Amino acid sequence: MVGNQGKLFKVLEWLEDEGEVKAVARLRMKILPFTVQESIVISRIDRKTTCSGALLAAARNAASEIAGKRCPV
Amino acid sequence: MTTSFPVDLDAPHRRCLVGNEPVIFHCHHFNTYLQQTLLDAEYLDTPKILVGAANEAAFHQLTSLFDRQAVQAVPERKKLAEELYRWAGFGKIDLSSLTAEGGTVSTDYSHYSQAWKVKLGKASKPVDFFTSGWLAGALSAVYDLPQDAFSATQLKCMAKEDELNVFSLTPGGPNYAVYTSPAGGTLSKQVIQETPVSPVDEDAVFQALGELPLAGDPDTGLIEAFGVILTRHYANYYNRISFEFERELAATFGMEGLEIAEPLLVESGHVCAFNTFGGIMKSMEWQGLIQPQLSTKEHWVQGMVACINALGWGRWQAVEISPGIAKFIIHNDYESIGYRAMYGRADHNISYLAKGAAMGIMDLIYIGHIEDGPTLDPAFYNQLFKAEHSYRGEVVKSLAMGDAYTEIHVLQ
Repeated sequence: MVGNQGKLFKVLEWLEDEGEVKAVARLRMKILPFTVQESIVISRIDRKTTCSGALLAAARNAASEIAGKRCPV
Repeated sequence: MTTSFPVDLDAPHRRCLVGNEPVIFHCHHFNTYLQQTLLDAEYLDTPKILVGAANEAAFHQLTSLFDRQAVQAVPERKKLAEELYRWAGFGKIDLSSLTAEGGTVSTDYSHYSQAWKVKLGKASKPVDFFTSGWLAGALSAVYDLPQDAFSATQLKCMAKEDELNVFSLTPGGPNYAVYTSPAGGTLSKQVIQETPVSPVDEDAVFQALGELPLAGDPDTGLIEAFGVILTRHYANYYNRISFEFERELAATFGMEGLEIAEPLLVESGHVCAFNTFGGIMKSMEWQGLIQPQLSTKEHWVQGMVACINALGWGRWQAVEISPGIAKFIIHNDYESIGYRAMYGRADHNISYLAKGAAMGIMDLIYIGHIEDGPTLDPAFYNQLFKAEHSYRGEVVKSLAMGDAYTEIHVLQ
């Protein structure tokens, strides 16, 4: 179920650069059910964090919507 | 500014009530950002909160007004409701097509739809939840029916580029959460604190701003002022949607839900401060009435606080001001008054708007150098506040939690 090491971190990094102020806070709100289900605290995500494909897809979609452009991660 | 309904000004507490509902100024940036925050939680049924909170405030306000003004006839009631909706800057609405059996109503001017489009672009779904709920509450009040007599659905929305907003009202029960308005709440005893010597004549500013013709345009029902679109909105609406939202998040996700909501609720206030306060500090009114008295950045903070006290948010005082720290005391901040009236004493700080607004004052003046007249646009906002040196706020006393007033420190 888990894998994708570091990819969630990269989504956050990308959104931090490309999104507006508090874009990452919006992402946290949008994907909260997924992160809770996988016991992931977003403020503690780093390059070693792994997650499911479903969470990564949700994060990627939410990041794209928030930034108004496709998240390339 | 003449209205056919009484506007009750409580000057000592810096509050304003219409139909026993506290009414406060807020801009389209705040309204849309706050609504977006709730809608971002797609896994919760937040539209039912947004519609329900509007139903609550409209029903209570109009029921109170009809009673106080002894307005009995349906056409007169509808006329008063339409006037109030326009005066408040919500847009234009014509209730003549609605009956005790409901009906369909359309409008080509809506604050929420216009605001969404201006700030966030084209919407994929209808966004005027406020007017849906307001109509359901208003129609129940007009016909002396229970508050939740009608369901309300928005069929078309200008934010998604429909030509008009269209709403359907149907008897048979609500499709939203039903809340009971706490009215004006209970105020705490206000002990005014010592503040640094100020060149700003606060009472004169309060009076002058109160005399500005800030009501919905006769043709559009919108209030365009200070570079933003203003509303004279319901404090109980903001409180209900904010606090019900965080309660649902906490009930579903525990502390993490609360922690995730907090920065976004504060950001709503910060966005509001940047745009509305910034617009005020660049306005002709500021330049004519206040700016000539100001010679330091600390004076600008004092001038802005004087203006905030005309917004209906409670009585603000800046008791300490320096580039490194500012301390704001707020007597009867509307969030605390509303929280206590709705839910009792809070177990955590809930003055989100106040915190974001206090941070915004300092950011605008000390980092944004508002005295130089910068263009207040998203690029400037991101440039300023993605930087790590912007101010942070700490709520050190909370009226909602049992303190005598709310106190916010803003530090770098």
